[in-house]
Amino acid sequence: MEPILKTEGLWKLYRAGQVEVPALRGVNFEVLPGESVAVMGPSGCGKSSLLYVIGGLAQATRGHVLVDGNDLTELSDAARTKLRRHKIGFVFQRFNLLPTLTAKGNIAIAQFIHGDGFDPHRFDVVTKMLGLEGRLHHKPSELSGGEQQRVAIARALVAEGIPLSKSNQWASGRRRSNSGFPSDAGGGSGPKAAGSRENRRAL
Amino acid sequence: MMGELVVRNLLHRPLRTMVGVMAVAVEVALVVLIVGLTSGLLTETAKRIEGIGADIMLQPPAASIFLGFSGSPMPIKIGDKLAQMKYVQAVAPALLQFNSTGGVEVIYGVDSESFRAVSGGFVFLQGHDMEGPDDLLVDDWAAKAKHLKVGDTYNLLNHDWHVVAIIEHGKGARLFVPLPTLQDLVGAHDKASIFLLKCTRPEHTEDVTEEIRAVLPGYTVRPLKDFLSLMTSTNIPGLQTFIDAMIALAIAIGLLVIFLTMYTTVIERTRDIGVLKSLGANRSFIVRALLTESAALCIFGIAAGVGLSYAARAAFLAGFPTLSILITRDWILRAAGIALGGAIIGASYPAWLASRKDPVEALSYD
Repeated sequence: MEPILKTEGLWKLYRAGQVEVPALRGVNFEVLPGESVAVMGPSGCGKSSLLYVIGGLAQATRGHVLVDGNDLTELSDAARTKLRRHKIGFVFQRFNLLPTLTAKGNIAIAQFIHGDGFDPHRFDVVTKMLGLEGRLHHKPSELSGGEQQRVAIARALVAEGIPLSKSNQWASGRRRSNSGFPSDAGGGSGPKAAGSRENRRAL
Repeated sequence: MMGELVVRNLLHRPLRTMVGVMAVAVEVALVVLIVGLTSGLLTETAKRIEGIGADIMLQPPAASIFLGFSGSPMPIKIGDKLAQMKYVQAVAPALLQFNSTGGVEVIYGVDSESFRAVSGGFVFLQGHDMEGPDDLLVDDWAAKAKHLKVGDTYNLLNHDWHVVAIIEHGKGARLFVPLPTLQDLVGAHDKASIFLLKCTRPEHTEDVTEEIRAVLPGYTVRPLKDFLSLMTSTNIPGLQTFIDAMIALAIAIGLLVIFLTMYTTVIERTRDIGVLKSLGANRSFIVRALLTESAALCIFGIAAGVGLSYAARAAFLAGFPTLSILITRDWILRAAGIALGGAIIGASYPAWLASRKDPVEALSYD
């Protein structure tokens, strides 16, 4: 089976003045279709950098990232944006919901950006799965932390793509209910793949 | 969805939105009112001059179309020459004096009999025609503005006048005094600023005009039926420049406020922009979202600006009844176009800036 995500000798360097700070040093890993992965490690080990690079938000300094056969390092910014739109979903540690929109708007905007317009069937399936039916007309400030997180998950799932979670809770292995995302335990010093669950394509 | 995003973003910061809307409203109202005031003044003045009922007006060489700005007056004897011309039925000399005390106005010094012969006479709402040297005729608009009535004394040009009649507006000036008295007051003995001519038949206007040009070369001869079309801002020295400068100022106000509003919006929503980018929004989406927001803000501003223009006009006219402010649909549309263009230009840089934001940096923004 071909991996849906693969990194080869992945490096990410940040420049602070004349100093180069390596965040990723030759990371190699792959994820097969249907797998769910948790990246675990202490603060500052490069988890966020790895997720930004494999999510197409940041460009790798060296190495390759293959998402569904597309090498992100070879793509232009516009092409990476397009791939991100169609193949990748983010759930942020702080959820990053748009404060001006309701929960419904926050979820629907992902479909809107995806370009296929509002798909009520898919929207209903996702929001029902995450138990958000009664909270859709509330703004993020009116939602609990857990509800905000579920809205963020719904936003990531509602448009088709590969789910990538960026949550320290998941990275550090706390067990989640409802979401269908992996449960894991333990630390680990660097990014790693773990667990196996169905991805959003199963929806 | 874009509409919802724009509306909710505008509602999220009501004070900032209100400031932006008001800036555009002021921009629109400034353009509409400045143009309305100048065109209203010109049109109303032209209508009053046309309303005299004369066929031709003679002015000194190189005289302005704006009669109050006319240069040195002409010898009154010219009137005799004009009266002898074929097809001339009546000639009325008038001395015009610009007065800026207690309001900006042009006073006409006229000879009642000749003026009546040319114009058909005043319509007296109250009182009677000038009989004494200090008599003053006031039109109804000026009487309302200055709170004058028949029997009042009114000081004008440092001279006390007796208001002997309130006349219907539309006969050239708002204030009329006897010609000899005004000549004495301004030191223009036996002089006139303009001559008004009535032809035996209107179709002889062209013939009389040609004859005057032949007899008095260099003098300005204007058929009054064309006067309205001549009263444009481009014919008044410096007026068009003033209007352009005021419009530019209004645009600058609107553009800068929109720029600042959208710039602060982009700074405030840096993280949201990062989120949108993480969802796959491309640069065009970000630019469209911000330009649409700016345009929406501008449309509200235009609506408020039109309302503000009419409210300001009503307030001006209540305070200054002799003013004329002409608000036209044409200039409302132009002002709206100017405001919309300014809003798009003002929002362009912030939108471009937002579209270029690095998503990772944007997501890290606090």
